[in-house]
Amino acid sequence: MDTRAPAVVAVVVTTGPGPGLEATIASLVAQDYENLSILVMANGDAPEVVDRVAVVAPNTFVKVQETNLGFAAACNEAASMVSGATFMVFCHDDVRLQTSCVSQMVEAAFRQNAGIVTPKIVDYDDSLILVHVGQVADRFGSVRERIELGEIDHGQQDLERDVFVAPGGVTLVRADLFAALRGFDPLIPALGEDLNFCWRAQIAGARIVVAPQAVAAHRQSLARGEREVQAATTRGRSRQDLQRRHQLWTALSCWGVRELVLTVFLWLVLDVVELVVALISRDSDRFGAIMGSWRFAWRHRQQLRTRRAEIETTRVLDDEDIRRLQVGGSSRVRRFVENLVYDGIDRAIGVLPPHEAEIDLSGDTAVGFGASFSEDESFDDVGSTRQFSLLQLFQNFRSQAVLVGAAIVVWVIGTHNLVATHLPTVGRLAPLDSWWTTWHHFFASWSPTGVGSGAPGMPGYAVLGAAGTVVFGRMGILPRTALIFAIPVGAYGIWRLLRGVLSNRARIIAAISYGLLPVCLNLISGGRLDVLSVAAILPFALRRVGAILEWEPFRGEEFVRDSHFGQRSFIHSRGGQILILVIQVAVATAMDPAALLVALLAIGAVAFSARFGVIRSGGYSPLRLAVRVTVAVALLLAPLTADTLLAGSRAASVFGQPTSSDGLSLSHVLSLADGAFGPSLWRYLMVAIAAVGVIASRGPRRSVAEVGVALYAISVLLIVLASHHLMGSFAPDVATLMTAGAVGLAMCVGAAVAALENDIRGTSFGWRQVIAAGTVVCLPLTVVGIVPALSTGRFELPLTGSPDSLASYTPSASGYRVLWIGDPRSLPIAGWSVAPGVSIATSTNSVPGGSTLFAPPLTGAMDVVLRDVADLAAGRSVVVGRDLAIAGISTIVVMNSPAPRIADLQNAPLYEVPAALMDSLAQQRDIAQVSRSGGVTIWKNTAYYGLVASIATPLSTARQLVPGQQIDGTPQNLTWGVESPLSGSTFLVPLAPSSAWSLEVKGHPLARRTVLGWVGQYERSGHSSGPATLVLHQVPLNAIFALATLLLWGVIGLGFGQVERLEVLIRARRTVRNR
Amino acid sequence: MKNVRVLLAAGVTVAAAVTVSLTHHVASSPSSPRSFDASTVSALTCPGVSQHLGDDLTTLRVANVARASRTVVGSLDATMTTTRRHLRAAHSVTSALPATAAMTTYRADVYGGGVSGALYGGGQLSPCSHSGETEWWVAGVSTLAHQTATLVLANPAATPAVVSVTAFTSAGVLTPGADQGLTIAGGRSVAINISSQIIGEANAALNVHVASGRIVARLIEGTPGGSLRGILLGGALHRDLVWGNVPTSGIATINGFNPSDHIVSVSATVLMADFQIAPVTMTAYPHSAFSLRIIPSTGVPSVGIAAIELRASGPVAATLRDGASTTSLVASSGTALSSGLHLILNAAGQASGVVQIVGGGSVTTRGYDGAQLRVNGSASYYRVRTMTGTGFATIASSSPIAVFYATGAATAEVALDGR
Repeated sequence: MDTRAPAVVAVVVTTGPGPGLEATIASLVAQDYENLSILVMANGDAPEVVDRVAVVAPNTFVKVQETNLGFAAACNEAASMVSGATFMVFCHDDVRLQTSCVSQMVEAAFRQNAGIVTPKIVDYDDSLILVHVGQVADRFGSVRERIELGEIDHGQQDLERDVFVAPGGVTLVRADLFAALRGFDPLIPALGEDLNFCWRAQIAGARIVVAPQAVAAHRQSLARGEREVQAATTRGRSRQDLQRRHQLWTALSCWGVRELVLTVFLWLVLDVVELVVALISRDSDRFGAIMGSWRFAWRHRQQLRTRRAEIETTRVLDDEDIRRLQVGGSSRVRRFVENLVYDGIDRAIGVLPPHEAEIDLSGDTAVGFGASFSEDESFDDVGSTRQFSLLQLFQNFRSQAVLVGAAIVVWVIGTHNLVATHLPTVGRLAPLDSWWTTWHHFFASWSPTGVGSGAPGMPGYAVLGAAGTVVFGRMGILPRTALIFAIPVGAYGIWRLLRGVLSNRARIIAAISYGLLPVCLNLISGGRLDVLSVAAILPFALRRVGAILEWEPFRGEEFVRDSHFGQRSFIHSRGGQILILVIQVAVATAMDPAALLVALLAIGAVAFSARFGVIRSGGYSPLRLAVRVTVAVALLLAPLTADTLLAGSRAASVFGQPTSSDGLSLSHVLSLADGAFGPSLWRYLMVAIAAVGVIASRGPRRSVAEVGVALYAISVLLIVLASHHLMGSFAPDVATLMTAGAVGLAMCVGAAVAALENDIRGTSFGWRQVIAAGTVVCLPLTVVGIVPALSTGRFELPLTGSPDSLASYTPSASGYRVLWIGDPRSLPIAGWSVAPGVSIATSTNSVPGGSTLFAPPLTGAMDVVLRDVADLAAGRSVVVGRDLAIAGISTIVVMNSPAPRIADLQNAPLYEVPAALMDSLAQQRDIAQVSRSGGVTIWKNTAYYGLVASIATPLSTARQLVPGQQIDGTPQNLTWGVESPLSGSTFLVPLAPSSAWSLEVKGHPLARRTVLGWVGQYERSGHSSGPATLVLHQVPLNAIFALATLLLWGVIGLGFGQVERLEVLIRARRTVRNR
Repeated sequence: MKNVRVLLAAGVTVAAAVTVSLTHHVASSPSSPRSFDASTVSALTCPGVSQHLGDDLTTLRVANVARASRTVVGSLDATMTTTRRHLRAAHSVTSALPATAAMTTYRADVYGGGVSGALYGGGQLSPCSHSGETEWWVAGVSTLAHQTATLVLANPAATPAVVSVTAFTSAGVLTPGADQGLTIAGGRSVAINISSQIIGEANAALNVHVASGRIVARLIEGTPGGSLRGILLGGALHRDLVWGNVPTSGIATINGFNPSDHIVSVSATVLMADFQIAPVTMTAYPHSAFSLRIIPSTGVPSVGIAAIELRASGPVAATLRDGASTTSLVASSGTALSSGLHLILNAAGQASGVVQIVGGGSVTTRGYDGAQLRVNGSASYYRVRTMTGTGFATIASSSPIAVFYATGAATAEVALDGR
């Protein structure tokens, strides 16, 4: 009987130069298996392959594939050429098989009844080092080795066992199995074809075993990066791209429906998290790879369906059985956490360190390998003599990660009630309008602000609209997101700000201290979304300012020269960085105009330090930068600029309104505390620690402290001057100035920690050591101040605002205005200043809302109401109700605190209006007090007669009512754009400007005159009976203006490479068309 | 030194901020003065208009003390009819108010502020109030058989005022039910016949507590026959009060009330041109009335004009009753030692008065309606005269109106001839 060994065909796929090809062929020729044939598949145009193979194995058949379609396609092609073989061995061109490798694998196949056999793979250069002994995989297709990296072979893996994946390199496959599975997946030319094939084999019920007696060495030139994947369909793709998409493809192909749903869901979650990590770490490759993997699957969804159907035809094991063969969890996550814990964030996100960290053994008692043989008598005691030093506290990455984690936990505890509970109408937390309406406010020809205004829409609406677009129109998310994340983003900004200058520990402590400062917490408790945008953006802008001015501590890489607007490299040029700075400042200024001042302060502080500080540097004129930023921001916020220029003497009020000096003592100013979180011992500690940074730091740390203290000092001075009304109408918002001071303080705190690490250490004992000890003691104590605030979970943000309970005091009929009077810090709506500490604003038909978030500096007809309130404040009138009724004001709300002060429930700071104003209100003949509680007093205007009213006798065109003259009006229920019945013949419509409106009956406008200087008076003749409609007629200049502004922003956006990309795209299309 | 330039600059900046913060006092907003004076007052509330008691307060004189013309729009409680008067700067106008059966209140709105007014009648003067109060006291209320007392409470504003009236009598504290939680609608007034509630009292005290809103109160005294006898302005409690122009030939008695829980020591001094007597002291017990007869006194000349000064160790309410005899005593509320504007008006004829300056300071007199003033009989005529120091000055005016404006810590008490 003729018993020949089963025929085995060894398929070697070679690509490119393949330097190890000869060795591979030679090792196959040297195999002791008697019935082995060799087939070489040359991928791509490689004419010398034939000659090279002929030298080693003259009888070997070489098939040249003109196009390199990858390893998988070549193997499939080879399989189609072969017939009659029992087994096929697929080999890379950089392997070297031991003599008995093939025979051992064949024996193992028969012994174990395996469909696929993989040998023990060892290192190409050192056969003692194991590379693969089969592999395992998780549900996501992440492959894991069964051995440790660099594991030495002592025979510990010499057991035949089942594995999930036979790694590529040398793989024995039963020919019939290969045919049944239709070979490798041609859509996976390389990097993942082994996983895909093995998974399908597992589904088909085939066993995959590792035969450790068969040994092969694998160079892994592809995995090592010695050569690139050159298959035609993978050009331009990185290894990460290919691995990700092939993994996803495999999982999508192989899982059944139920497991697929779960796996896809989990995959999406993991990918979203990794996307966030990629965004934070600016890893565009990772970002692109993740997005590319899903794009690939979507583009080939048809093939996916086909593949899945094919797999179902071969299915023997169901998903549950497959899960048992896999490892649990996610290898990807496990690897990330391991790298993070042991090697740090950079390694975890895949950033290779420039060099390995040097181990400093000087003075250290760590035991190295050599010391194991030490003759030192104290050898055995080495470990016990290791001494703890405070300097080691939070020095390593793990402890820093714990510190950051603890800070995050504290923040989550402190803000957990902001996630879902009702947000009161305090500060700038007025309910936002819908996404569409918010955009409409930016384009609108008319806004209800004040008594109506045709001024251009405030750019803040565009910023909110753009932010709303990101959250798919769910505008309610925006205030909560700002409240919860603005300060952490700002803290992260502080951390980045000090990069390269201070140690990681100092940066982290500086970032945490930023979040602990009372001004930041008061922004949350006061609902100041406008200033929160400054708190988030300022640290990033400051860093950029330093880089632009080439200030040594913040200097980054050299700016790219010869780069123009529109090119991809523009972002790395100075011009590009200035443009990014402009964008940052413009966004913040749109929300809070005082942000522009703060940005100029930052430029001034850096410039001053660069000019006079410890480290003199700088190559760019700060004045030039300041002018450029100001002009550019003014252009980008053209509507606001136009409003400001038209406001005349009130122009300076765009930066803020003068407040009363109540509650803003020197201690408040120095500790940057104005609000629910006032000055306290714990907050003074922060200032003291910052002072240590200023005094004790040296070198670059001193430079940082210089900028920080300059920013803090200028802010404090401006706050004092503003609160004492020494700058006239120029009164920048105090909270914004305090935010700038907070950035400065945080920088100084970081410098203090760095000074402890570097400048105090090593000096002889003296005052430095004393203050260092004090600093170390005080640092943790600063956290004490925040502990009581954690209990509310809202950082003292009130539970309810004054407007929330106003409904019971306002007319039930539609058409009324509410006049809000109070200190600017108390008002829940942006307004205008009447006198220091007295500002007013109006809301129409309801509590403050999205249409009155921003008050343009241009007052227009609102001047009339401002004058009335000024008369009221000066005691010059006792009939203010009559005057305010002209503007349709039915209710006056005087606020002495931002929210009602309710015992045991909420305690808002007190910012009282002048007592004379309250006295004057009490003496008015025609307003009656209806409620007084908790810092809020509500007055009802007894002279109110409706927003739109009919009057018996037409008014003259006099600009004011005659003394004693009363208007006897009947309210009309008339809404803009809605046809409504009217009774009477003469109507007053107090919507400014009167020229923008018309009252139309059956499409015909009624005769209109302007009375009292701004009110439209309409008279109906006998021919115009019937219902009427209030129509706005305004040339859409505002819309055109807004559109032009948005176009300008769009052009700016093109500057960062989009022009170049467009050019490339256009050129490519032209080329295709020409072909 | 170079290395600390920035730090020095920052330090100097912070020091400047600290210095400004500590030394600069933020004045009240110039557009919102903390206290009103006649130059800015915009409303007049004049309670007590009626002919209920005959010869009652039915004449109104309003003076424009501002530098520009003003329009005054007035009305009575009971009617909606308004009258509009245009006043030239530094001029006054007299109006006869319609007679009303019930005691009512005249209100005037001053467009632009700066007007003072007073009601006249029966030789009595009741200056109008420009702002209301939240707490009102009056002492020395007499409801003996031959006297009536009507408490007029006017609400100057639109906010309904809720008041409670308490009487402190020799029989104890009385809280008449009808006078508790009494709501006075906006722009309205009520008249309470006190003499029907506290009968036969020689020295009672009244307190009006305002729970919400404000009121202007007057106590109108009359005779059973219906003549007006006196008007008590009342007001807040004080530690120091002064009455001027008290003839030493008659009788002068201080009737007061101590509303506190503590014993208060009260002393009264008679001041004349050349001397003053030693203070007469007494003890005012908690929640008790006190009475102190000052004149006649052996140490006080029986001819002349004196000022009487009351000082107490705690806030008290006090009224001076003086007259030629015990049957003709007329009460007057004192003047606190504070600066303020006092307006004296007369319905007709010429006016003369006496200015007494106590406590130092100066008094400036200014004539209106083209008035010329003669001070201390001097031959010179002054439209404006400032007097300083302590002592008396007599002023004669050639026209019905004079205004006295006290600055500093002085005060001036001026009365018309024979009040």
